[in-house]
Amino acid sequence: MLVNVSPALNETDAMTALSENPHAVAVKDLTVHLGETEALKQVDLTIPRGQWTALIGPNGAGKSTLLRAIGGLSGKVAEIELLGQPIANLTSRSLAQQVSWLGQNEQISSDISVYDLVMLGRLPHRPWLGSPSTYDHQIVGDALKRVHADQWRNRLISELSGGEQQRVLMARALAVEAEILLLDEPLNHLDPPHQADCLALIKNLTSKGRTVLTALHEIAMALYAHQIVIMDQGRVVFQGAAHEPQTHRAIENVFDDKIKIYPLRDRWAVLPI
Amino acid sequence: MTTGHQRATTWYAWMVFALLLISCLLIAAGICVGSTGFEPINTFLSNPASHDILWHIRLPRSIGAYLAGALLGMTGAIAQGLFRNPLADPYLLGSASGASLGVACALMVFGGSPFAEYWLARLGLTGAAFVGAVSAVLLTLLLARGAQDRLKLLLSGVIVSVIFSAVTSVIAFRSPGILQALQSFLLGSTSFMSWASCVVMGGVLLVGLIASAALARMLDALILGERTAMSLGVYQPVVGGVLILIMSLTTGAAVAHAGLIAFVGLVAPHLGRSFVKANHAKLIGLSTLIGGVLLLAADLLARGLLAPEELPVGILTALLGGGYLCWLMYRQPSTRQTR
Repeated sequence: MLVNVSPALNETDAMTALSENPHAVAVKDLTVHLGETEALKQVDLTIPRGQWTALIGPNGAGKSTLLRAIGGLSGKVAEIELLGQPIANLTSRSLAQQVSWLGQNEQISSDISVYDLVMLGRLPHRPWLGSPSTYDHQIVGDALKRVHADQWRNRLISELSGGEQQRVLMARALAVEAEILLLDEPLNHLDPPHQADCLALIKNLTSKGRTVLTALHEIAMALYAHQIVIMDQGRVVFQGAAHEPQTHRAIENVFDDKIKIYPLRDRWAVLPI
Repeated sequence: MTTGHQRATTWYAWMVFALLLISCLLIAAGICVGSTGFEPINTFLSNPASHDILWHIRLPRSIGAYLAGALLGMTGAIAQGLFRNPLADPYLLGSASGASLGVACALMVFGGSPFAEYWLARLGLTGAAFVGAVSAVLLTLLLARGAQDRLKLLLSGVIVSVIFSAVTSVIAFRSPGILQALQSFLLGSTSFMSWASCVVMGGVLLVGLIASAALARMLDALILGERTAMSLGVYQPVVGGVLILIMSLTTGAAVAHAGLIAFVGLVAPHLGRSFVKANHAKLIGLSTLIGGVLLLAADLLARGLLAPEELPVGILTALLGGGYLCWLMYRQPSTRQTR
């Protein structure tokens, strides 16, 4: 029953859409308070469409807060535009269809089968009542295959290891088929081969016109992205292409020069000093 | 779609069928059990008194017990899904103490003897219990400022429960004449069920089932955590608010007619969950049927064990429920902790 599903957005569509609106996300002068503290301070940011942008910065820099804000999870504010539309103007359902969010350390409170969990990703597309369509089943099967989790489809989520659970959660995020994916530490709990798989998956998504925005604490991995956004103390301090030397200097700088980025063949190695 | 899912669906259909069959058998058994034994069945056609016993006492009582149990089972499954806590029960948000306070007030007004003006008093007590249960939940919602924060809701529930219980105690202390009647309400009993009770509870059950069928998918999404659910378009405060209002109605209807029946609302979802994992539409359905079966079975035991004397059914459900939870805890001590 598992068929290779062609993604809803093909490459020609992506190119047309790209020419209409080059920005997937535009943030204008956004300030977010978490209790007493200002977690984000007057953030201005545009995220190019169809690319992978990695947010990096020290702990507490505001990466997760920014991802949540863009996903509309801290209220639909007027300062954020998705594909040219202020999120305040979007209904919850259309926002949920456009943006897929993968959080870190989200607790799964009850036992659920892997397949049913991934099917929850289809929720924004399904009618109010009624069972999943053939298309929903195809998408879920496809998402499970893409993270190599198909063999566990009937297992309970609690029976899986941390890394395996992370892959299933990634499949859940893929199943939304959103144009914009916000992934908060998607490599958490993954061993190096599966980290490589995840990076390849992200690249594959962007090659099909999807926009991926990740918060990453592993800088070596973030350097595989197209774009790097550096955050510090609630502000965006730098934005640039991942391969530019000046981006590397800015990264070293924000980590107080306690790390160094060395060229290694056509890639880079990040080492602590 | 997949064979695994087809098998699960077929199996679920069989479970529901089996439970419905058991329900019918129990209701039939309910007609046979009572203080006058089988006698009325044999003389059903010839003796008008026997007809009355079966038609106006035993049948509504059995169906009423079933409906009250079903309401509690359904509410328990909703509560456990909404609060993502397997220890949540229908009384969690103060409805039990609210109903007790309502009954205490009504007893004080009617003078402690519900037999004086039987129907009026009975209606007064049922209404007071219902109003008490619903207003306690509304007060809890008000204190927690909506359903935004689960912890605040739980705490507010505790606060309302404690304060309402204290007020109930003051009333009981000031008018000791109502103690016995109040006690019998607190223990739970199905002996006052009439056809009117059945109609009210059946109607509320129907409303509750329709609402929970419509919102079950939202409860499924909340398994992933509040934020992920929100990213899927499921806004917890709204879903929570609606479900809490429904829960206040269903619990109110159950306690108003059957008193404070213990443990059915806690145990039924647990039993259901050993058959269905995290599919709330199915779980709520199963828990509803199990709740009905449990309470009616307990009621039959309560009527039959010491016949012609009767035990308050709440005592039996508490004993059976406590024993079951104990067994559940020792069966799988390590894996249960994480659920």
